[in-house]
Amino acid sequence: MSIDLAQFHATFFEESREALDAMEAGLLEIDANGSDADTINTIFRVAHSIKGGAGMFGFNDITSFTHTLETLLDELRGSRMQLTARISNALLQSVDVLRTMIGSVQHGLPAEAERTASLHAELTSLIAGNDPGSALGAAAEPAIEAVVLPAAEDSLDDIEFTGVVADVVPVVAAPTQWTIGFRPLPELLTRGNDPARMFSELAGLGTLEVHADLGALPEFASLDPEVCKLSWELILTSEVPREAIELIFEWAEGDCELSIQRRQAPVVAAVAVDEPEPLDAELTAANVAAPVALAVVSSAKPVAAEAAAPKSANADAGSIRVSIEKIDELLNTVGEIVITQSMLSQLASRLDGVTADRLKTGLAQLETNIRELQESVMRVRMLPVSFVFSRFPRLVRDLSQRLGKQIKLKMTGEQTELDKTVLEKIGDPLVHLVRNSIDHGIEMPDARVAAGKPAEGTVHLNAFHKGGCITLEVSDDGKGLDRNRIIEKARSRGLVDPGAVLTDEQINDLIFLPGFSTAEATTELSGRGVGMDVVRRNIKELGGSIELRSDPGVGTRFVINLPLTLAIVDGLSVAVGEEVYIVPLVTIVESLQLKPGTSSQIVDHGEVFSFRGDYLPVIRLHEIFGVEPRARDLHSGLLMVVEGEGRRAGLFVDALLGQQQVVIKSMESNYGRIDGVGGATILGEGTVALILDIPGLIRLSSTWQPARRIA
Amino acid sequence: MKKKQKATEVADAGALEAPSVLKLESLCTLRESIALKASLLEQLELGRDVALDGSVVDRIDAAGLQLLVAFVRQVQFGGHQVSWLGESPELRRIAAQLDLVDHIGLPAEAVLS
Repeated sequence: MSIDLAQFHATFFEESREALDAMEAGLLEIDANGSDADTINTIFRVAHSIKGGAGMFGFNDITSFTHTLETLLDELRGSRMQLTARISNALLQSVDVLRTMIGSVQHGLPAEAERTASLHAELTSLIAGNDPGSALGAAAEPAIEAVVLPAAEDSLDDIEFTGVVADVVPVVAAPTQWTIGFRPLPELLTRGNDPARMFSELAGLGTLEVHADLGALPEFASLDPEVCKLSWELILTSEVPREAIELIFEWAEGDCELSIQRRQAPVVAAVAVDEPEPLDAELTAANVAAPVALAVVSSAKPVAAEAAAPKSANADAGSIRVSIEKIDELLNTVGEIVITQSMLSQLASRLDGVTADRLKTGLAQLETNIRELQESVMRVRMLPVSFVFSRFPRLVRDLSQRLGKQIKLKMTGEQTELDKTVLEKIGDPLVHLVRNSIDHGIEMPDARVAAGKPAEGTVHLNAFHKGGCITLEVSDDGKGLDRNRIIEKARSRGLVDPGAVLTDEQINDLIFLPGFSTAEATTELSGRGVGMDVVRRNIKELGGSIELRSDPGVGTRFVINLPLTLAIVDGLSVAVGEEVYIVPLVTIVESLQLKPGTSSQIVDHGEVFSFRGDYLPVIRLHEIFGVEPRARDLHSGLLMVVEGEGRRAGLFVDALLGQQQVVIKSMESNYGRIDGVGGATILGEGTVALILDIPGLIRLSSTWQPARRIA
Repeated sequence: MKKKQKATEVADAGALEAPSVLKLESLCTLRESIALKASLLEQLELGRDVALDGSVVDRIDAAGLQLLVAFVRQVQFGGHQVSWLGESPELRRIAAQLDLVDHIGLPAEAVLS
């Protein structure tokens, strides 16, 4: 029976990307702290896993490339070659190329054939020893301390086995003799599996006897050189359990017939036991149910930690992989239940009597349970920020090398969790900010030293929870913003009146204007003036905000505040006439009722009121949305002091209705983007309420004219 | 068959019984297997004893060794002999790992390296 492998492609792509992330992290670890055998082994396994998967699915270009990559890594882990800067660069570039290749295969895009071929040639050249620094001379110390295991006897005793297998397999009490039947199927070799390498790893487990069987070998002329017609019987005497042997053949599953049989009891018990033990159930490729998942190795996890639980094909019981669509569907259904529950609660509130009380008690319990359910589903969507941060060590390394700067990357709060969608969308803005810090913020080493700073600059990425939000910070200890140049540039472009006096914050804000850049020259990294406005827009689209703080000579800090999720929001419902609006709780500072005469009208600036020493603008929601209010005088309604993007305003509403968590329904995907509106929700009684986008409303109010209504 | 890999051949045309010599390239893996087969086939067609020189083999795998095994068997089936002028450590190591040392006619002890 054949298996449609296409159904596993998505998993392969996803896991390969994770594997490449782990590989990149490992390489950067080596780059920073020097090589060690564990890390090299981890990287080797990643390459091996991708090769195996690609071979299984017939992605021959990836198989071929990773085969060469694996060969180079094998030289390194076998201490036949030492890691040099050239090799390290080639390995990192291999990660990039593999990402591109995987993307090409996944999305049917044209591959970067030239770049791939060039790097492939470089890898081959390195394997051939064309990097003089990599050769292990007589006096040279190996760069990698290989794990050398007891070598097998006989003809194999000159071989050092430095396999990962030895690092990860659990050990059983006494030696056992295993008979392994290994008959390659036609695709074995072309899918990147090399029996010699497998046997080498097997020999690393104990004493190995190899017996080749040439019975199926045809005459020379009819031999297909890419099909292995040889088969082998292997006798392994080892203390390892069956799983350790299976692990070695993991990626040959489906491409070979494999049987593993326990031959006899441990040697020490030979006197008492003459008869062979019953044979274990035979393992063959045919009865292995499904293609295996990639064994993704996280570099953050010590290899030793894997020793207790070697990964086998389907044995990863700790987690399952679920598509995000299924989780979103679940979340949406929970959202509908929340609405229904809210509707029932409102109906029940109008009932009296003993039965009604019991109903209300039941509904209160239901509300608690639904909230727990909703939070649980939300947590499923949460990922640590390290999901995004992990790309930065490489970025900082490459850019600082290219610019000749010395830059240290500091990351804190990587375990802070955030919704997956938010995380995916915040990646590009963060990249832009970090690039800006490296390109414009951090000075050249000599300039830093001249300024009394250490030659090495620091870029700091930080994440933490604050209120119901998450805050991400990108800061550097560079030269800070040159406000004189910013305002000079803004004036030259007519963005600021010649005589206008701006505060530091207002000057900082200028860099977020479209097309604004003070870079002397456009570089590959930045200076094109496209970016910061896009950064702000992207963050706003996520319901977040970005602030900038900068001190000349000390550094710059970007502070991004984001909602934890895009799916639900804790809000306060307010009434304006017959309409209900939801104000996100995180934007609310205070609610107050003005006394008569405490507001003022300023020409061209509308109404303002005094609030703790400041004058804040009044936003009359009924005017913005064109509804008939119950209260028109400020002292007869309520003012909610709200804050967005560092600016405050007073929202004038008729009344506060209550706090509730609402499920956000996108207006953009169902209708269109509306300034000042972040989305909509369905209230308990079934009516629709708009969720206010406070930063958008504050911006809108500054340009709003009474004749122009948005709804 | 298209020949991708050129093997160095030195045949002594003057002595009919002298073996033809095939020097194996440094890479004898799956990637080079079609070219290697072509080179070996040319040797077979000469119908003579063959002396293989594997002294510069840096990398060889099961595919390369399988070709050599089939080749040696075919030469011997035709009543001729295969000898080795040289072998690299890698060639012997991988042949030993796959239990193919005898099948490719490598001597028990290395004669040259």
